[in-house]
Amino acid sequence: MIHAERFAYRQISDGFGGINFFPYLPLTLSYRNHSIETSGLLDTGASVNVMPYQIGLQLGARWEQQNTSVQLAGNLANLPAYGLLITASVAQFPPVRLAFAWTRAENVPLILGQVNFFIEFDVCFFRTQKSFEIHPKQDI
Amino acid sequence: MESNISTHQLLPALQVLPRADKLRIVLFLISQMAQEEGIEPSFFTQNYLDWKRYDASSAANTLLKMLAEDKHNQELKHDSC
Repeated sequence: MIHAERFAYRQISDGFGGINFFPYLPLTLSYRNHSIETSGLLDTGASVNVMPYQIGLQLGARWEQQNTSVQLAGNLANLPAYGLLITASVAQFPPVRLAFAWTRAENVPLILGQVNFFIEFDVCFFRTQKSFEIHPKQDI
Repeated sequence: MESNISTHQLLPALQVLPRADKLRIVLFLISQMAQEEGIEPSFFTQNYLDWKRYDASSAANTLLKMLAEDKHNQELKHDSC
């Protein structure tokens, strides 16, 4: 049986002299022969996973070779994005396939959204304790 | 336009506002000044205000299709082994 893993919220300066706390999950992303260790913002309000341009490049993905265009919303709607399938490893859990909208934008965090991060993992937020717990989906 | 409140009265009132309200006022002023200059206000403010809106259902459907195809291909590869 796989137990839940608990992570601490990350402390981030808001640029106005204050400190905020956000649920960033450390994870390893792999694409073909490249792997990077990074962290993604758990965003239950995001429809999809979003990968900033630089992370895709670090993974060895070639922008000009992508052919599955996806339409994002908000200010990201003005920039092109492509679907990109990545293997992601979180803690000691088995690796999963995550689909990202790889955006040309560089000023966004790596976002873990409903499709398909929250399809693969269950997450409990304990904001008052500045921590969250995560475990893989359980087949019923 | 004649103002009923002086800057001397306004600044102390602004200082005690919560940070989020201060930010709203900054964005409001940027928007006002951009309009006066004939610039589309969202040019300055949309990155801050809108980047969190990701209601992208068509993108979600596309990614789900990619995942389904990927899973199908993995199963075919597994079956052929």
